[in-house]
Amino acid sequence: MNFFRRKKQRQQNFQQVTAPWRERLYNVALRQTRTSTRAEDWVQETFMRAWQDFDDLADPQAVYAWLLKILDHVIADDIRKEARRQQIAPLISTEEIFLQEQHSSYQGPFEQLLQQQTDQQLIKAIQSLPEDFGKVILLRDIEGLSYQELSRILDVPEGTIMSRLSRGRRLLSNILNRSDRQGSFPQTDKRTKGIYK
Amino acid sequence: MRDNSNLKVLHLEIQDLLAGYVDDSLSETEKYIVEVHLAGCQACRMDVERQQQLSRRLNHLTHARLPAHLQQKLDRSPEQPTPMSGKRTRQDSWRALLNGFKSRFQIMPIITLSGWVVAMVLMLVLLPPLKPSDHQHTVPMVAQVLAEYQSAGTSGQFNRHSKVEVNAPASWPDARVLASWETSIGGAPATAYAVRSGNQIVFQYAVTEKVFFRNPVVRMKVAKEGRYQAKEEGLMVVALPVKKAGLLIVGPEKAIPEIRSISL
Ligand SMILES: [Zn+2]
Repeated sequence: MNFFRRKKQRQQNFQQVTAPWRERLYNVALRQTRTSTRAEDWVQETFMRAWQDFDDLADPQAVYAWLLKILDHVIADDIRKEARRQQIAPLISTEEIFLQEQHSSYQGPFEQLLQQQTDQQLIKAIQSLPEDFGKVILLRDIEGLSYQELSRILDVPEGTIMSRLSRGRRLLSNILNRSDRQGSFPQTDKRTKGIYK
Repeated sequence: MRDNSNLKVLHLEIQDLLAGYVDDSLSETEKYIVEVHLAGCQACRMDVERQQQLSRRLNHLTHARLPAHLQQKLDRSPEQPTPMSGKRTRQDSWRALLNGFKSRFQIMPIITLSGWVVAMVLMLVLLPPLKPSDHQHTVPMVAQVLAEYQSAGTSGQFNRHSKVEVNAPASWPDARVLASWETSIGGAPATAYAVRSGNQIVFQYAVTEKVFFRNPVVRMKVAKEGRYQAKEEGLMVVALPVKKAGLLIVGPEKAIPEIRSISL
């Protein structure tokens, strides 16, 4: 097989393996930004990098997790660039904030409150979480990935995934409760500044 | 646990395991420890309940369609640098509309051309004239296969190529596979099969386990009754678990075989 045929073959393989995941990946990107054009740029960049690293994909079964990991890096790079541009102070470690326990004081029917929230409101609430927490909730509760997959994508041990998820869901419940009483999400929270645009 | 501060430390540590408890991802020992603690800690019990409810709700979010112009960009050779978004021309928007229609299928067929022709002709002849309605079925994967089934007969947007012998995941006495293609259900890859059942056409979709069990209603029904089914406008969808995957059968109610005559 000559060079061009081989290249063409590789491209076909790439498209065949990755194309079915485009929409889902786009949705994951979309849930981490407020502007859809930015999500589109992230997705494009992700597939470009995926193409460059296509030979590294050892297990075609794990292609979605692989793509998510690349997307995660793309987003992190983009946000870092943006933060440098805008001179935003570095984020406070999420661990510091949660040394004290965070329990929801809400006693009412949480289920009912959840049903009243639109998808948009829920996404907004997740976006207002510190990045580490928002991500695990996105990948676990919305995308339905396993702890093992999350651990591989985010490069942290499964135990950390579990504790972040525990804290994240708790925090999210609190935010939803608060917003229910106040009618809006906390916008001035310095933790979340610059994480999600 | 007589000591209050010990109890507090335990309570804080247990809190970090609660997600694992909710998601059934704890070891037997951990699970035991958590359950003992839950018995005596109302705060943690409430936390578990809220986590379950939250997780269930988030599982139900609607998914956005991939914009057609993005689809188009991604279809191009991955090496070509594509213009970044933001400056979109008007031409893009009508093309987007057109492609939105086509891209719903993302079809890479793997079976005979003649099979397709037969399938399409039969769809046109045998199906009652259906208006492609906007399916709002509560289970997204069900809504999607209903919509695909309905528009298949009228769209004819199928490319065809090579010839492969294929068996569909489910078979029954008068079923014959006409065609098969790769598609995407619930955002994950799926394989679709057009099957002639008597004088009707039925589609089968082999979907990933994750997509199949994503919806709690489906999960519960399948756990209890071994299957989930839904009817809409004379069409019926049956969802059956198969080894490491899920199977959706969609077609006119009368063409769907009795469960006991289906072999998997
Ligand atoms: Zn407790």
